[in-house]
Parts: sequence; structure tokens; C-alpha cells
Amino acid sequence: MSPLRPVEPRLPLIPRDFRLLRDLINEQAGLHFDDDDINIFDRRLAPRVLALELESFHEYYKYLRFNLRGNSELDEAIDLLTTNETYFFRQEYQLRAFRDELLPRLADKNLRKKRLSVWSAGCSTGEEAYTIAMLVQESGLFVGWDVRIIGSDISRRSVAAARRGVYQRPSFRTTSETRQRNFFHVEEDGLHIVDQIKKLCHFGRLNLLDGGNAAIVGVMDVVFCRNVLIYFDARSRRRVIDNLYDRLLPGGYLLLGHSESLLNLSTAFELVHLKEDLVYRRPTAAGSWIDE
Amino acid sequence: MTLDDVAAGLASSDPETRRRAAGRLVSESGERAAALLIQALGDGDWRVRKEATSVAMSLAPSPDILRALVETFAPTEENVGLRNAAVEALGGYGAAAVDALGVLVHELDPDGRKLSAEALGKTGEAGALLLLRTLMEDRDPNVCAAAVEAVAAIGATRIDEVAPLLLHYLRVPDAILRLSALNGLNQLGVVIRWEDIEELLRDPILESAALVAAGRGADPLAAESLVGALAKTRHTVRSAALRALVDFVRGGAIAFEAARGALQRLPATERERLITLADEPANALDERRAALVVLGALGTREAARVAVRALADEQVNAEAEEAVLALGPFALPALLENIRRAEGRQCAAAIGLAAQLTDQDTYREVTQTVLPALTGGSDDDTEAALVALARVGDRRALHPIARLLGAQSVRVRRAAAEALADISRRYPDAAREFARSAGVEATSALAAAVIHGALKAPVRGSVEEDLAFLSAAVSADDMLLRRAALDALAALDSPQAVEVVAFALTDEELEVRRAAVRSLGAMQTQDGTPAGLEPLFDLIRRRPETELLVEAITALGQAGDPRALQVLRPLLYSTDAFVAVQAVESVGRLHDPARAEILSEGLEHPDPEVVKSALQTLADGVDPIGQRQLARCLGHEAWDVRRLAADLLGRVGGQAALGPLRMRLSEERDPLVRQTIQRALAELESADTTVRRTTPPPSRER
Repeated sequence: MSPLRPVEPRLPLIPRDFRLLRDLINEQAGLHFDDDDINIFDRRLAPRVLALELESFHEYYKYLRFNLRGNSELDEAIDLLTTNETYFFRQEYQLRAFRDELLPRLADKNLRKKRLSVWSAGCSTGEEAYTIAMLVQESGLFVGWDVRIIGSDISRRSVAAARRGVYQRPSFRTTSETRQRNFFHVEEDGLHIVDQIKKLCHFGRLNLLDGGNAAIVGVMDVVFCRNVLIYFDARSRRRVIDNLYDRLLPGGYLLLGHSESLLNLSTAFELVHLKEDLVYRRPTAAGSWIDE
Repeated sequence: MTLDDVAAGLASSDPETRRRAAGRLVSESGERAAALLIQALGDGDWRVRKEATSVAMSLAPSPDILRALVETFAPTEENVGLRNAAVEALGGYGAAAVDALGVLVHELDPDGRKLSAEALGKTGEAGALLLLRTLMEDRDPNVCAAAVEAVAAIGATRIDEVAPLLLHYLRVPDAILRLSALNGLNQLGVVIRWEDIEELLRDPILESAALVAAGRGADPLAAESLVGALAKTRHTVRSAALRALVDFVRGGAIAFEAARGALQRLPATERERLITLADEPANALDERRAALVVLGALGTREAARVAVRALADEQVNAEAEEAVLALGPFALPALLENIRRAEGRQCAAAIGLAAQLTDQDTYREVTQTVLPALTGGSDDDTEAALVALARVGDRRALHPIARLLGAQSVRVRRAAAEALADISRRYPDAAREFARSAGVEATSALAAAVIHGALKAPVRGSVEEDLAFLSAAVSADDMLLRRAALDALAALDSPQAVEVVAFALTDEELEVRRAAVRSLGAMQTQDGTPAGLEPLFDLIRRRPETELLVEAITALGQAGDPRALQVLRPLLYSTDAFVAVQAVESVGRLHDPARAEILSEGLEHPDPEVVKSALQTLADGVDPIGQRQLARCLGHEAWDVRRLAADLLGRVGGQAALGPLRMRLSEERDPLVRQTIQRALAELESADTTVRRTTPPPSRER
């Protein structure tokens, strides 16, 4: 007999079970996965199937549907399917536009109330929210202001990681040495966000589809929702955009990922041309539909 | 709001007011509403036009609206925004738009014909091809180019007709037309002969698209050109070559070897650039991923080190894994080094890959390297080591693995049981010796029970001795031991074994009772007759808690005995959907002539989950009743049932499914269901094609 067992998948995910799981996730969270995303499900959910002592993905599907603990397991599955690594100062050209053009405008606009609110919607493990806080701090325009940076994500695990604020090497792929020195301190378990940045940021778990729940964040001057819409199907995208619209103050800005746009999604925003980027803005009042 | 209000709104100077007014037309009909909609489609503000387009596409295609939309393509209409909006709206109307355009298209000027071609492409209707063929021969080159693009857009459903047409356009003198045709062929995945691609590569306009085609075609003759393009000065060409090489190396063993040969002839500086591109996290993610896949074909130790290092980066670890497996023996030393250094997440991945790359010459070294990872690391590492040892481990691994059967982590326990069973089957003498030395109260009893389950009886000298040991184990304190013993008893052909297992249905732990049920379903006499059915029938009649009931229904299905049908049939009607779904699945496993008819009853269940389960099970069979029922469910009220029915019809429905799918497509409004119906139609309509096509490989990450 051969001393080796043939190589075979330990827990194969067959297409029919993938389609069931995919539709369930779509139904419950509006998240959209294509037929060719089967490997993402396989890789990320297999440990759950094994941990629950289930024999197959089909059993897992039935567990999610029918077991009393199915709902909390569904949260866990959504967590696993949506958690993606991100990094500080991602899409830097857009962040420059935010720092150099939007922040000065907001500093003028909000001068009387001295309050700035920014929401990182779909913040994953917090890198984007902390980046925003660092840019606000670097701008020097908001000293003594009430600055609130809100980070939200559908993944419990991501929100917990964001709150912890401890990061490893892959999160710093585009962060300069100077910024690493200014905004982090090194500990045994990784680089910790300094307190002056951490205290500006508040994290919570939110489903962007749930407008009522999203209202908890209050009204915002700027919403960052980058590389999040790609997870939703067309119907759900519209709902998410409507919810973000509701959260923005008149004249507030919406920043999407570089491959995302509101084409076919919403006509409610106006397009603003910045030097390095295009961003969306909630009109200040009816009739102000003029591009800058 | 009346139509007068809408008209007033559309006359407002405020674009937002006009946009809202346009939105109101969604619930209106008739000639005046059509006229107002056309007015809104021609609004000066793009937001109003967009809203109107969306309204137009959600309305049924009335003759008034269709005529008005097509008339916007007439030379007298100069509103560009209106014309673009009309293209979108007509595209959404499908077959009705094709008919409407067919009447007028030849009376239009070149601009109008070009817009017509675009609209025809957006309909996705195979019926538009006839008209488009005439537009491809138009005297105006812009109309021809638009028609070529439109043909490609709807080509998936008529691939036999479309592919030769587009291939013909690769030879026309106009480079823009050639590019449109080439992009269309790439989009449809049609494989183009290397001789044809080679010529296209010489034209700078076509070079990038031709590289894509060469990558997909995976002709070994293309390897030198693809690899050579990695050294080109234009970044767009280098980038296209890199992505094309990904398709190429995934295109089969011959293409892979050809790529390896060409990469080895690449100048050292270019190889270095490829390695740096794959290694450096600051590089563009998609290029880094592509470079990693190509590294797999490079076949050097340095490539292996970079690929193994990249296993730690979640953004590229799928491509890194692919590269490591492609590198094969080149990668093993780097993997083993990594395991020895035990670097967190990377370590678990390295262990798994090392096990896959192990052969008869290396398994001893790999076992030696992996064994220490069983202790001291994270649960992920331990589990990975157990899974690896299941494939490569030898008798040395039996004892260390047995110690992990009682681990706290469920995943570790399970992997340990699987590994112990696998190694026992490869080294049965050593395993029997181990099992015989264990008493019921010993800590090794659990390992002994697992070994009993893995090996054919007798393990201890005689079936009676095995039965005695396992019977005692079923009464032990340890729940894990009781469960393992019940699993092992399933393989014993003995009436006493059935009695022991049936008594375990009284166990105080649900998990043990479930194991007993599974065991009863699996028990057989020597001639293959199910031996544990009666206790299962009794259990179902007593209606235990849902989890146990479902387990019993599953066990009856697995036993496969037609006598179970009468017990299972009433359960199809259970108001508990979990129970009904399981009953459907178990009925599906039985070989009985009445099977399809009984499953059809499941389609009437009020819970869509039960309907889906019945649909899926019917599709797994080959009976015509099942096929008819699939088509019937295209009209089900639940979107996920309709989507599943469409998907299944696309796979198993054959030509008879075309009619019902087309009919449903004309009524279906849910975008996900529509998408599935369109894909199903494309699959069925191109089922007999002789055109060679490639399909994109599954994605790893977004």
C-alpha cells in the first residue's frame, strides 16, 4: 500500500450548495456574490462547518436556515465572507483631495458650530477611520473642534479589531515612516494607534441596508464608503445609497472607491470635480445642481 | 398626482422638481403619458433623463412609447441626451424593441442607424442578429463598428452564428472594426487560432487585446510572444501580457511547460522584475496577484521563497498557494523551512501545501517536520498538521495524534480522528496493536474506538471481542468515547450490535443519541440488507425532538430501503420546514418508481425552502415529471425558487426548457432571476456549439 493518501479536498463545496448559501446571504444581508465566488465561500466557511461538527456544506446551509443558533451563525458567516484586509492611506490621491480640498471647505462651512463629523461606512478593521483622523489632525484646521470619526462595519470581528487599534505589517504598505512614528507606538503585539487619534474614532456594528439602524450615527459632513458597494446587488446598492444620502448634511460629501460610481444608482447627488478626484455631494437646496 | 401635475412638474425650472415629476410617470399609461415620458427623456438635465429612462424600462413596452423612442433616432431630433436615454430604454424592452427598430432603421441617417445598433445590442435578444448583420455591412464605418460591438454583446446565445462573423471581421482593413471584433471575441471567450493572433499582435492598436486572446487560447506557440511582451516599454502592454500569461499558465500542462521554457529564456533583469512585482506589498494588487501566478511557472528557488512568503498576506494568499502548487518540488524546501520557523498563519498554510507536494521520496522528512507542529502552536497549526499527517503520516504519528482526540477544539478533535483513521488504514497492523493494548477505562480507549471504526472487524481477534469492547465503551463515562464506539459499531454485522446501538437511543446526551441513529442507518447484514431500520421506524413514530427526528430521517435515506417511503411520505407535509426538507432529501435517495411523484408533492409546500429542496432533488433524477415541474416553478412567488428553477433548467432542461425560459424572461422583473434565466438560455442555446470557448477561472478574492 502507498504510504500516502491521495490528495482530495477535505470538505468539498459543490456548486448546488454554494448557490443555496449565496442566495441565503443575499436574502439576509443584500450581499452579492457571483457564480465564480465559490472559492471564497469554500475557503472562509469550511472552518465553521468543521467547528460545528457538520458533515458537509449542505448540512451547514440547513443549520443556518433551521437551527435555533442559525441566526448568530449567519452573522459569523457574513463576518467571514466580508472581512477583507485593508491598509492605512489606501487610495492616497483621494485622501489628498479630502485633506487639501474638502477639509478646508468644511473648516469654513462649520466655523461657527466648530464640529466635524465623518463616517467611514464599511470600515473593516478600522484603517480607513484612523487614516481620516490622522488627516484631520495633520490639517491643523480643527484644533479645539468637536471632531467625530465614526467607523462602522457589518462584521463584529472587524469592529472589535478596529476598536483594539493594533496593526501588523501588511496594514502599512503605503504609510510613511514619519506617519508611523507620529501616529503609532510599537508594542510586542504590533503597532498601536496613539491615544490622540484613537479618541477621535468611535466604532460600531451596522448593516448599511438598515436605514433605521444607520440613523444612530447621526448626521455627517462626509461619508467614506469605499469598496463597499461592490458587495451588494443592484437593488441593495440603491438602498445603501439612499441611507447614506439621509445621513449626510445638505452640502455633505460622499466618497466612493475608485471603481465605483452612482451611475444607475442614484440621481440625488451632484458631482463635484476636485483637482485629483470626483466626489458626490448632497445638494444644499433644490436648484443648486451646478457642477464645480 | 394627475398627468396635468406631472406636466407642470416637468415644466419647472428646478431640475429636482422635474426629476420627481418624471418619476411619477411610472404609474401612468396612454398616449399623453408617453409624450410626457419622451419630454422627460429629452430633458436638459442628465438626472431627469436618467430618472425617465428608469421609468421607461420599468413600464410595459406600449406601442406609443416604442414609436416615440424610435422616432428620437430620426435626423430631425438633435437632443443628444434624449437619444442616449432612448438607447437605454429600448435596450430594456428586449424583443419588442427589435421589432420596432426593424420597421424604421433603414430610413434613418448614419447617426440614427448607429444608435439603433447600440440599442439592439442592449436588448440581448438573439432575434436582433438579423438586423445587425445588415448594419455590419453599412456604408458608414461608425455604424459597422457599433453593429460589431452589438453582435458581440448578444453573441453568447448564438455563438455558432456570431463567432464566424466576428472572426471574419478580424481580417477587414479598418483597425477599429478589427479591434471591436477582437474585443467581442475575447468577451465571448472564443478561442482564436494562434496564426491569426500573431498577425494582430503586430498592430499597436490591437496588441493588448491580441495578448488577451493569446493568453486564453493557450497555444504553446504563443508562449514566447507573451513572455517577450513582459519586457515591452509600454506599461499597458506589459500589464496586458502579465494578465494574459495568467490565463495561459492556467490553460493546461502543455501551455504551462511552454511558459516555463519561455520564462527561463527571459533576461535576468526581467525575471527579477517579475519576482519583485510579486514580492512587494506596495505594488498594485491585481498586478501582484498576476505576477504570483506567473511565478508558479518560473520554477526557481527564489520564486518559491517569494511565493511561500506571500502565503502570509491575505490579499494574495490564494495566488501564492496556486504558485506554490505549480512550483511543486521547487517549493518544498521553502515550505519545510517555514514550518520549522513556525510563523503563525503562514505556518498552517505551509503545512497544508507541503503535505500536498509530498511524494514517496519525501514523506518521511515531511512527517518529521510536521510532527512537532502538533503541539505548542495555534489550533490552526495543529489542525493543519493533523490534516497533513492524514495524508503523509506513518506509524510514528499514531500515538501523538491519539493524544489530541480529547482536545478542547472541536476542529482539532475532528481532524485528529480523521488522521488516526487514515493512518490506521495505511498501517493496519500497527493500528490493531495499538487498539488491542487499550482498555475501556484507559485514555487510549477513544483512539481504539476510532481505529475500530476505521478498520474491518475483527480488530481484537474476533467479532465477539470487538463487540465486547465497543459495548463496554458505549457505557463509558466519556461522551466522546460513547459516540466513537457507536460509529464503530455500525460496521459490525451482529444482531447484538443492533441491540447495543438501539439502547443508546436512551443516552442522556443528544450527540450520542444522534450517533446511535446514524449508526442504525448504516448497519447492514452481510448480504447488504439494512439491519437497523425497525428501531428507526419506532423512533420516528414516537416523534422525538426535531434534531433527532431529522437525523433519523437522514439515516433512513442513507439506508436506501424502499420500505422507508411510507414513513417518510407524511413527513413531507410537516409544518416544520426542517423536517419536510430532510424528508424530501431522503425520499430522493430511495430507488422507487413513485419517487418523482412523491417529490412533486413537496413543490406544494408553503415554505419555499421545501419547494427548493424538492426542485433540486427532482432535477437530480432523470424523469420527465421532474423536468415539467421545474418549468412550472418558474412562476413561483418566491424569487429564490424561480432563480433555482431557472438555473436547474439551464443545466438539465435540454431544448424543451427554451420555451418556458423565454416566456418567463418576458415577464420576470427580479434582476437576479432575469440574470439567471439569461445565463440558462445562453447555456442551452450554445449547448451543441462547435466553437471552442474558454471560461474565466473562479475568482479568489474581490
